[in-house]
Amino acid sequence: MAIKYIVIILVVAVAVTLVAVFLTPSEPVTDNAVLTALSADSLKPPADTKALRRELTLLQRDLKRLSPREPYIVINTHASRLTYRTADSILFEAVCSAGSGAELIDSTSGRKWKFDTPLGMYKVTSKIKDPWWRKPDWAFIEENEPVPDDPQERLDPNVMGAFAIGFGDGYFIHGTLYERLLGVNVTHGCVRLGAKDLTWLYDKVRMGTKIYVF
Amino acid sequence: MSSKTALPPLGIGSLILALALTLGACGHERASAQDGEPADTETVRLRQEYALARAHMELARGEQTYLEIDGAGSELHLRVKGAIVFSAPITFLPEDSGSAGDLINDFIEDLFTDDQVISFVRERYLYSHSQTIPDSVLAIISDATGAAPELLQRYLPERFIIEWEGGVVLDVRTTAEGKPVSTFSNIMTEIRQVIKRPFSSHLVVLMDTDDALTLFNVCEPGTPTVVTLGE
Repeated sequence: MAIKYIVIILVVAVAVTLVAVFLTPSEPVTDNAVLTALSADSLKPPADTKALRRELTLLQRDLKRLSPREPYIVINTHASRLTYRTADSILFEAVCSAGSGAELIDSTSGRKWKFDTPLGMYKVTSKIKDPWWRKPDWAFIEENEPVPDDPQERLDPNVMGAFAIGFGDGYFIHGTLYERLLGVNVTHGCVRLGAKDLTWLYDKVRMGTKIYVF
Repeated sequence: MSSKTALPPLGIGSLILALALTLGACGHERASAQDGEPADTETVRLRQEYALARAHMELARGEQTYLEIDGAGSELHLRVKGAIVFSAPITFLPEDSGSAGDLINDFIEDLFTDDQVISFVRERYLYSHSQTIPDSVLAIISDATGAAPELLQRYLPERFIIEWEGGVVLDVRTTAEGKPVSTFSNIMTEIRQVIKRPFSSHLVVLMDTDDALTLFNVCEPGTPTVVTLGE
């Protein structure tokens, strides 16, 4: 009889423990020690209702200005999609390829590269017809070829397609010889598009068009 | 691929703002009470709108992609620097009994309080998914590009959950036919969800597979979440 009670008590104890474990939140995202040390004075809303209404109007105006008035490009690296859109509607959508995230280390010099498409907000900084690729060092190291001293040996006229749209620090939206790989993130950081889609986009965008990469 | 992710460092600006707004609002209420001038309904509403607008502004100034819940439009948006970069409709499963508006409003009320205008994703859990690229093709692409197969593979989620602080859960289902990531973990997570369900909102939605893929990948722990600003 005593054993029966002990078993029941044990089962109840285990059940209570399990419930407690399941209901205990995992590590909190916010760090209260940091947060409680902060001063909120600068973020307090104005005490006076009139001033509050005025501040709110200014704030909402500033927020509206953040949203681009002109159509903009969005590169969704997660789904390999490039869209040309406004805040309310998508004007154009294409399958693209972005950076693979792979790493390359030069065993001789120890230099490292990570082939990511940079995230954030950019603007179109160049529009180039019939672009030539000026191969960086990693293009040779990746192929186990010596890095040439002559700059002419770095130029390749055949790999970027008919157009290139520049953004950020040397990145481009350009064409590809391997359209079958569109939809898979295989690039070294640039964004590849199919020939028809690239022609459409090149015609629409202008210098300064905003590009958002996420 | 691990289905459960560790917490990454948060955007400290967002974090600071969340608490500062909370403390600010609380402090202000206390000050008003001490002054013997209880705030009227209009002032309270304006303060909440102000706090929300400040939250949007601070998030737009940061680098992190953030999630916005548009209750009136029944949509989820992702924003970068204030611009909408992704939108997905909130579609309920046919068997869900409540009205869409009520369900979303309950969800939003549980996610945000009067004093808290930003909530952070606490964790995400992937139940099941399917591969988009067959292994044989993946091996060829990997060989040709030099990138590891695990970097190239894309998994379409069949079901995943996103959980915020306070235990509020968005349970996303898609039409993809997937395989369980881990049967044991799925059972344990499901039991945990069943136990927690009476205490907080658990919104089950149906989503386009590509949208779900994007949402799952973006909403890593620490992702700030706000409700849409009213007009």
